[in-house]
Amino acid sequence: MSFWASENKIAIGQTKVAIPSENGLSYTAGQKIDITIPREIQFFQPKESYLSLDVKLALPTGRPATRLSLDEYIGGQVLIKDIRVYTQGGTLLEEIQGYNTAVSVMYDYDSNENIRNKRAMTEGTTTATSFYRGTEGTSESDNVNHVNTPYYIGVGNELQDTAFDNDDYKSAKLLLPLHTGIFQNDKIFPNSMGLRLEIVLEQNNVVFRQLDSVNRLNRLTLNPKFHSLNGSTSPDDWTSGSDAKSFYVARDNHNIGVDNFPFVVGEAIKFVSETNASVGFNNASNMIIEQIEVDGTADDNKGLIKVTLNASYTNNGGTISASTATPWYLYSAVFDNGSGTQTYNPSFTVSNVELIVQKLDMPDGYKQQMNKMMQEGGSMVYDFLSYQNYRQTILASDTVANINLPLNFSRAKSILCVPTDSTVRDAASVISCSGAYIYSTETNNVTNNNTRGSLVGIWDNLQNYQFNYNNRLQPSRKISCAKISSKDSIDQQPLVELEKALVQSGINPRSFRAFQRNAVIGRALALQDGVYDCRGKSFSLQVEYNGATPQFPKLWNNYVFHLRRLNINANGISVDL
Amino acid sequence: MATEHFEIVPDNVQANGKVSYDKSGNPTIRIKIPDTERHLLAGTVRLNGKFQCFRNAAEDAPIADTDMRMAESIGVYSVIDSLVFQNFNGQTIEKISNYNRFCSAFIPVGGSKQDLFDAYGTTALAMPNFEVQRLSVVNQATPNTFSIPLISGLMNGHNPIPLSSQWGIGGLEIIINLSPSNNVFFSASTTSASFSDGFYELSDLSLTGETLVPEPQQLQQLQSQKNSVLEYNTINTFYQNINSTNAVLSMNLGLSKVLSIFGTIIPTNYINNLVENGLANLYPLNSDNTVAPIKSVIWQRAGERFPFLYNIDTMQKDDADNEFPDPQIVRNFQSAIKVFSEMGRTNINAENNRVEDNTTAALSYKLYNDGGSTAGIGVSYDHISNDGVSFKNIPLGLQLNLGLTTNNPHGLFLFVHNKNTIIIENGNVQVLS
Repeated sequence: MSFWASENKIAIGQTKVAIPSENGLSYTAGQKIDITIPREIQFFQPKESYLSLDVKLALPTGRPATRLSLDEYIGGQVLIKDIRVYTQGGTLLEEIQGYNTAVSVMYDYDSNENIRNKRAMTEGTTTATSFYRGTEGTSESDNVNHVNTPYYIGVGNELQDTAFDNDDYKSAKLLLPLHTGIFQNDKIFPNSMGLRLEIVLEQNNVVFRQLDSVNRLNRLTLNPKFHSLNGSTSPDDWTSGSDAKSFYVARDNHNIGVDNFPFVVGEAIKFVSETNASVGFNNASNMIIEQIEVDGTADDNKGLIKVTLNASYTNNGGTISASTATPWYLYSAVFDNGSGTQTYNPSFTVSNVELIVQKLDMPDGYKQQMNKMMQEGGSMVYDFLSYQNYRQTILASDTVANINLPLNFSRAKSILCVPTDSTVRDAASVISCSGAYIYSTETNNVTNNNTRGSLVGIWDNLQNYQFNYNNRLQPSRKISCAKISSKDSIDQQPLVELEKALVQSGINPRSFRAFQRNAVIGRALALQDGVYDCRGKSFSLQVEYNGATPQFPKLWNNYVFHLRRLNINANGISVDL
Repeated sequence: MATEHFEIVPDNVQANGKVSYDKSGNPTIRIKIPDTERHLLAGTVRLNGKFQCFRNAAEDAPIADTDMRMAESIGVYSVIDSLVFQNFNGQTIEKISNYNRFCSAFIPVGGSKQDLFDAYGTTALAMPNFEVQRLSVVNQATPNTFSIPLISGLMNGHNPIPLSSQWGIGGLEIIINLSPSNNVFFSASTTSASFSDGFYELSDLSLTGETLVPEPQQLQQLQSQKNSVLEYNTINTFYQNINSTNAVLSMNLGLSKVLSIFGTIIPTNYINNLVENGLANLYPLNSDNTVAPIKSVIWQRAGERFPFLYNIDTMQKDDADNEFPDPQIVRNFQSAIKVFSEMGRTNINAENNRVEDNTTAALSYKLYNDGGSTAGIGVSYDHISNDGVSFKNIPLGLQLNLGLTTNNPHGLFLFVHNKNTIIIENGNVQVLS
């Protein structure tokens, strides 16, 4: 509806009601949230209804601090693992497993700066910021905004000597549109049977992310850079075997003030050189930051950030060079102690859960007519575009796999297949991206590990794929993904196929910037307003990893988008698939 | 039907063709679109001219170290204080007071950063980067040209406007009241000494657009019709003062089809103040410029909560130090201008919407990225049927629970988005709100 253009339609009263969750006051990982929309709310507009909740993150007890947030691309949506929508009488209307993986596809491919900003203001995602911008040729990161974040307080440009702890994490209020078929439908929902939502929260090892600006394994060169021990115009090295209690940070990557500096007091750090990023620890023990300040007289009064450590440390590794030609970077070492990884188990608590429902008061005449028709044996049909996840696993050693999909939808629209990394990982491994899939060979970043664990798809040397349905190979020739998998080029056909499938899935494919870091195979089963009847037909996806050896076991999330029909009559409700 | 272009110059401009609130003593622009047997294609209407800034009464242009700035997100819209459309009989059809404040809320919410770069950048001299705007517009020694649509219901409502006095509104006069320079300009620093006599000047003004010329048969039909109706959405401005921790406001809007209301807040001492941006949209501040956060918002109709049947309690209610804006406040503000789920373009983001002090220890609102501060409140009453909610004889209530513990009066500008109807009967015009 245009802001200025005047239109004439039937007057509909609109109010917003807040329906609290009914089975608790706060929730943690893995727990279930129940919400009922009572049938007294006869009509509501699903697309303008949303889940409101507070979430507070907590660091593990007794471990060094770091700044954590929820997933930068989907924010609070990452908290929702599965979602089920029933009638109050118990009829299952839709069930979505792997909800957050589906939302990752939606948010990665339906994205532009405006939409990302909108999500950042309401859903707890984060966006790129000029307060921490790369100056070393790194790709732009959406996970460097430690200044304007809903999850923890920012700091001013003033001396910091108080350890960052759980008190610095604040309750973030998130407003989450529910990306289910019913709740993304434009049409007014007739709630004559009442609705019950069951939301299952995700595990702790999936949801947390660390700033890209402190992470060694993703965009290393976005991290703060070592300047010197003396902060002088003639910067000195931290030579091997020598001791130091403080050092200076170069102004690169916009490290010009304490508020820009991404590390916190109490954080464990190490140094790594740009040239040996994959191997380099220099100190057997972690160094803990005790104080962060700006030394205005350093570097001939240009000023540098000075970091003071909690003790004097001996550099028992290689010399940390002050040379700009061979820079050394700081990284967060809260997940390792120099001799191996340590557990790191942050947690989250969800509270104040409410479903904000846009209640509609339809005109009396409309309601009377509808009731009359119902009483006379009529029924009402309500169509919506939903999706269901058919999961299949394959081993890392499976170089050719045939993924059977026993579909039974009469009006299927498309299928989106997301091969996620099913390696069992703890939170430390996911947050640090240790051992994760490398999604790009972008050399300026130096490191490009998948930061999102099992949430997103990985190409992992997939060479080609082909669907087989109705006893026909479709498309008629294999779709090559070899160039995308090689990380240095693009196969266009899988992306064109994906674009068609996204459109048919009701996802506006505004952006393909995530094609490397979130692998998705798509197939439109019909075009325009068409549908495809899957009933009684074989359906499978054949994938071949016959090039370079795949590295990871995979859980294939196959989201089949289809039209569902609710038949509502005086006797009850039924669902046609 | 054929279309014809027109170009009309203001009928009250002085001989030198220049208009300035401060210098020429002529703060009003009047442009008359004649009473003709035609329709005005309102969407094509543009106000064109040249805009130039001076740092002193001697008409010297600002130089590199002049601290003079203007609201970068709305550019030349800053100079329009009110916009009035009336027919030649003097009947007011639409009036938007505090027009520049309205634009400073409407444009960032409904337009994107990219819009500021291109559409508003090229036509209205706006720019999301304040320094680029200052250097390319304010500091220019030669006048910049502009060509702006007059954002309003009558001009943007997509309805051709009948200009005839027989079967239409009877000519259209556009009256633009200019804003004083001290509410257009503000200092980039904490002093305005470098431009204390600064002013702006408009020149070579004209109004261009297109009219629709009816075919003879159509004209006969139009001339024979006794009455007609024209509907459009418009904005009515209301102003209230706030200076307590619990601001309870009650207003008789006198409007019968209210679609939404949105409002922006600013300390009153920032208005017409060369040091502060009088068009900034800020969260409330205490007298020491520390933030006085909004803790809850309750919208009422006839004393009952409506349309939110619950209190909107913000994050700052429990944590006053939380600088991240409450998402309910932001979402409702945006929803008042565009249906949130359909909103594909907006310039509100985490960089320019912050619940923050305006002190030297914090990032001053003047230094916000992407067009400056975008705080506001709002409520949507009807985004489905476009029929609105009546506040004709029913008062609007608004309760704001704030952290405003010091004596620091704030102005709350409420913009009521309302559906208007023009009834044209035998050459007489009646406006129903």
